[in-house]
Amino acid sequence: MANGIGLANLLRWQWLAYWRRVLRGGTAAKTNLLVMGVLGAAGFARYLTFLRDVAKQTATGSTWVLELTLAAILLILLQPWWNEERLALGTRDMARYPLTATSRFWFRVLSRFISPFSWVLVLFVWVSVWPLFALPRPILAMLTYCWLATAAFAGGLALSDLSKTAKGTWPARLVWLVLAAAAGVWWWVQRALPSYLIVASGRGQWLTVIVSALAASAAFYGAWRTLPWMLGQAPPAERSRQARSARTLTLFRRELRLLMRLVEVRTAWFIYGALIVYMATASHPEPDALRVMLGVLAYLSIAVAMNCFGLDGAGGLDRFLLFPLRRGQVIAAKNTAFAMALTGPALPLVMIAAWRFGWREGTADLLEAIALCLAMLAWGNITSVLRPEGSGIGGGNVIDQLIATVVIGLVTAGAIGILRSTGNAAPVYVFALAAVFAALYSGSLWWSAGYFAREYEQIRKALN
Amino acid sequence: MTPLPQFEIQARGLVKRFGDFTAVRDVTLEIPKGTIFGFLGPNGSGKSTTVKMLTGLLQPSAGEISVAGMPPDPADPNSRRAIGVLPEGNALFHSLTLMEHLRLSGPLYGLTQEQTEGRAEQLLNALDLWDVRDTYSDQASYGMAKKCSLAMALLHNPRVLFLDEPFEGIDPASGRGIKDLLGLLASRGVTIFLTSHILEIAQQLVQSFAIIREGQIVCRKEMVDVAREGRTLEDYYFEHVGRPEIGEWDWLG
Repeated sequence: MANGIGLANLLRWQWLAYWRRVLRGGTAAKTNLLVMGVLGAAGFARYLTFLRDVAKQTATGSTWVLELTLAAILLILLQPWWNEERLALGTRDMARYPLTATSRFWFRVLSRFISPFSWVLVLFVWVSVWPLFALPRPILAMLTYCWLATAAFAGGLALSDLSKTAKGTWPARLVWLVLAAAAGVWWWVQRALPSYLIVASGRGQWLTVIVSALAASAAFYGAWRTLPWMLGQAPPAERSRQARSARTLTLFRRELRLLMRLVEVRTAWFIYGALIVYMATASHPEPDALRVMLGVLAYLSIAVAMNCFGLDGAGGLDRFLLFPLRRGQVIAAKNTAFAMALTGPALPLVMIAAWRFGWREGTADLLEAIALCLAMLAWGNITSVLRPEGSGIGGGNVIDQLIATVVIGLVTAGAIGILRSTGNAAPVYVFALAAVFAALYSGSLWWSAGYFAREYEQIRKALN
Repeated sequence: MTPLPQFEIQARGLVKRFGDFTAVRDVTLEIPKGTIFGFLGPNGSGKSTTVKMLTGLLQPSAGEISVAGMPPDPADPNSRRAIGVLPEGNALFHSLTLMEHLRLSGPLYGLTQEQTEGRAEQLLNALDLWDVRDTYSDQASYGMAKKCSLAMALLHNPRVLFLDEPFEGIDPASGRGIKDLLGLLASRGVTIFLTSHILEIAQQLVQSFAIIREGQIVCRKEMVDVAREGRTLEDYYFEHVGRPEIGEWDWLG
């Protein structure tokens, strides 16, 4: 059998299964696709105008925004940006078939381009070459950009292969750490992002083209070698641990592990990391940047909060009922994991904000983060039982998520605004505000636990 | 190391460790061509881990394996063509129907579309799946999914079959059909390695068996010898695996 036949056949079924999953996913999945299309088109138009401004700025010799943009793109490519778990035909599932290493490798790579999400991403990556034409040697800059993009993509593949095995999890983490440390050292010494290599090529430095080509070759080789290695390795096991007395603690740890696998959570951590770097190193950090990014993080997190049973499915729900747990304990464990995974990293950020802008600003930011978290959980608990979706944790309706983000954002910002207008210092207002959001959350927990107990069959049916 | 002799399935000194835990320790097997071999043992004894190693889905920590005369390398197409596997958990794909699973598999093993369709129809009929062939795998019952996975294992006419609990969740009529089919395959020279908890079926079907307990083989017998001794496979099983003491159970009932 020629390699091409097997590969084409597999990709055909991958494509069919992907679209069938979308079509079988109910109204929410189709609406999401439509909304993502509209948002993608609008975002793309806005991105083009942004690139035009970047090109103008680059022509004047200032390349900082260009470097930042390219660095963001490279980092996105380095992430496992399309979860293999979301594909119908996974690479591991192919181990039983008589495929050559080449077919397996290309199946793994090309499967990433099945979803429209990836097409939009590719489009964004390609149009980003526009400002490079403003550099003196645009061809060289484009060459380096292509090499580094390949290196990021292939490196991401290799690391995701590694991390999907029991033996590779720690080496993968170590590689991430080394990469982050190298980027940090580079920043410390040169005061430049790794994407500066592209700009340097555009200014005629041939050596950077060669360095980036070597990086791409190494990453590509890594991706090639890790795939067959992965097939013979055990996946990371859910290690059996000694029974602990606190059942909710056990449940909480399980929830946290589940959440940490989500792209939404990883992306949020990436944004938190970028924000921490920005707040710590920028000469004049903008206080509003923190608030805007908290809004973005709220949008990322809301999908997780609004469908907290999404990853459990009907079987998981049955299991919860079989456990000697009250419904409220189940939801509370999920809420705690959410708070730890998605708003926990805000704490160092708030501390840095306090250091850079003063304790008054830091306290307000802390309050805003806590209020946002409680408000999201309050909303999320209610929607999780009222409108559960069986298509994964982020599978809820995008329109609902957008509305929720706006409403929660407005309520929180309004509350913080009132607090500030009162002089910001009166502890009574701080406690009053905290009490309001805590009451909102407690009420939602009490109500959703009751609803969960009463309407279990309905929720189970929706998750099935 | 001396080369492995030409048994259809052979493992020597097989070990699998997961961190500090050793799931399989020093397993050695020699299974001749055309044999139905039963691999028995309690839950968590290392049966599925051994099957995964023999099929190349898991790399052993130590030891050598030869299946159909070659190491079970998932990256080697020849090794994949030689075996058919009914894995633990069935390994079916989301959003594909039962029939589509076979349509996907056929061309990957080099079958033409006509061959795939013809064999798929025959297999689905034999396994009583024809009427439900358009059911999505995630909507199929456990038994239906199991039979679909079995059909996928048989579709390309492999030399060696690895079946992990093939009778689990299967209705009696289908179970009988599968038994007959496996008997026919063995008579035509296909080697079958199966794990099962259903000792009655194993007793009727297998020609030889091994019992694994806590990762180690504790018994290896030919059924001819078992019959000669006037004992049953079940006798050997409980002799080596043990039977839980029932006790008093004052608090129950």
